Amino acid sequence: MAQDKIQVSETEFNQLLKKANLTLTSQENTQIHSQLNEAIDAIKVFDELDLKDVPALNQPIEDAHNTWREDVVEASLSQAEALSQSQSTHQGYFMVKAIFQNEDN
Amino acid sequence: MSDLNKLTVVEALKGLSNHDYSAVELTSACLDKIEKTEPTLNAFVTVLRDDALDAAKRADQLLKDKGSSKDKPLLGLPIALKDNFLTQGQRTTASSKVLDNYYPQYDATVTSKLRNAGAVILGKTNMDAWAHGSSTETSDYGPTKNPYSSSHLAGGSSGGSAAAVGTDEVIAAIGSETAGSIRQPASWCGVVGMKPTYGRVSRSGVIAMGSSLDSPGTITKTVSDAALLFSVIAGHDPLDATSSSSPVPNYYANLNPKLKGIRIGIPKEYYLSGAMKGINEMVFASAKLLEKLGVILFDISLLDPKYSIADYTIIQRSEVSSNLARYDGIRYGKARSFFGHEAKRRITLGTYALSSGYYDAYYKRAQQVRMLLMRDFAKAFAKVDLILAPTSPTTALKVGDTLNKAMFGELADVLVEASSLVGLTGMNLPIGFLHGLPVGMQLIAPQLCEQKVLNAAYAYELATNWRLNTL
Repeated sequence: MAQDKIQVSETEFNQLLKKANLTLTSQENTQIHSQLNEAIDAIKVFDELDLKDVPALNQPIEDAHNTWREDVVEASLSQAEALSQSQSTHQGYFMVKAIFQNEDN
Repeated sequence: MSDLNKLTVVEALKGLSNHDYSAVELTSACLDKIEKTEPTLNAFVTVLRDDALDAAKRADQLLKDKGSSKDKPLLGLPIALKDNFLTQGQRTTASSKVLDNYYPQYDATVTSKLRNAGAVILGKTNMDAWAHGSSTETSDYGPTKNPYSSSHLAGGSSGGSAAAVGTDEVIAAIGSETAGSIRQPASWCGVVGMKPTYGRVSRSGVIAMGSSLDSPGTITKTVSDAALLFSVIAGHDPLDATSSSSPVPNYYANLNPKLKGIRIGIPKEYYLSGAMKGINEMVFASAKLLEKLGVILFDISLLDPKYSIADYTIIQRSEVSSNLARYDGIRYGKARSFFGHEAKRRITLGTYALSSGYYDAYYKRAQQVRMLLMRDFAKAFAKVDLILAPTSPTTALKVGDTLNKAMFGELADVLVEASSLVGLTGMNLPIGFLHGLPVGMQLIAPQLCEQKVLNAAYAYELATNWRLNTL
């Protein structure tokens, strides 16, 4: 599918940043937006290849399959270990920003 | 200052086993060299001086009490780990300020294997932040310099490991490759870099970049060293769902330099007209040398590597955008505002390529191109056992040359991306110098054919000796 030079609009770029949970400075915004367009343009080279009926190869493993283990309790990190690297904990919980508020908050 | 740091893995293990010197003496020699060299080189993010000396003392006790143990094949050996390998209780940053204060609660599987084998971990080496790059210039802790020129770069993303080995700061090091991150810095630093088959070495506990690509491997002074270390770190791991169940051979014991009848393919598309003048000629000369050793050379054709640049960019950046979503500063690390420019660049394209409305045009098409690459290599390997090409189209670039480009890393790795996308094994071998900087060539083999690569490389190494130590 032939494509003209793709330009990601400013609105679309800002939506992308929201999806990616990224905040950019205004200088970064200009630079990275322009570089995004440049990188997308470089992908046009795919148009030269015949991909009709070619299946996708998601992993370079011939017989990729789900791998399971037995449903047996095994040793794991203690709660203290799991919490040890967080900068904000409360009574054994990781603290996160409130998602919604109710009358109690 | 002793010269014990200049030893190879094979030499050091023999000397330790014969009690020619102690593990503490060997470790101290490396630490002294690190202290002397680091102000210029910047190969390390964290030097684990006290931990290393403690581990060396414990190794000496074991060496004294029981001699070298078969179940501890690396007893007393000082090595370094790239800083994307988790080390329990020891700072691990992936060279990003996001993880500046991160002390992992567990070891990577590779780390455990090395510790259980008796290795002494000297420290964590510098890298492109999150392994995003081919220069080590995107590190948040400053670039790593080239062993042969302090105004040139070490390559990346395993630049710290490659430079540390190239300057004899360490006996050997561990790196990782997503596409080129072992082979390319090994080429720029004049050392042996072995990228295994995808799944041959466990990814568990390696900070993820591209999960369908990441391959931990070795950076060493010699091919024999690579073979020896490889058997220790390779193998199935229940913690890595994509790790291979194929048994791990004793690569070192099986080293065989007899090359008569081995078929090596020379793909014309990989000898770029735009490569730095002299590189292609040096690789052709090495091919001729291999021919004298009994190899049969074949001209072959592979898909133009320009397709693999685009393919790798989309697949890798898409997987990066997903893998880096976990860094939210809640369970560990700092906020996403601490990401560097390169990470933000890559996350942005990856998010775009995976978005609704664009997934089919970009990510899905890229996976189809990947299938074409797999079929292309399968066709080539029906005719030849190995493929030989330059590793990098240039020697080391100057400090500052790689910054703020839209796709520097992906363009620099043009000659290694296709083999990475298809999960093949490959090795960089030093073949000489051009204008004072190292040149490398790569041998590529089908999946799980590491022994073929090691054997051919070993034969070449025995017939030549390009490793100079000018520092």
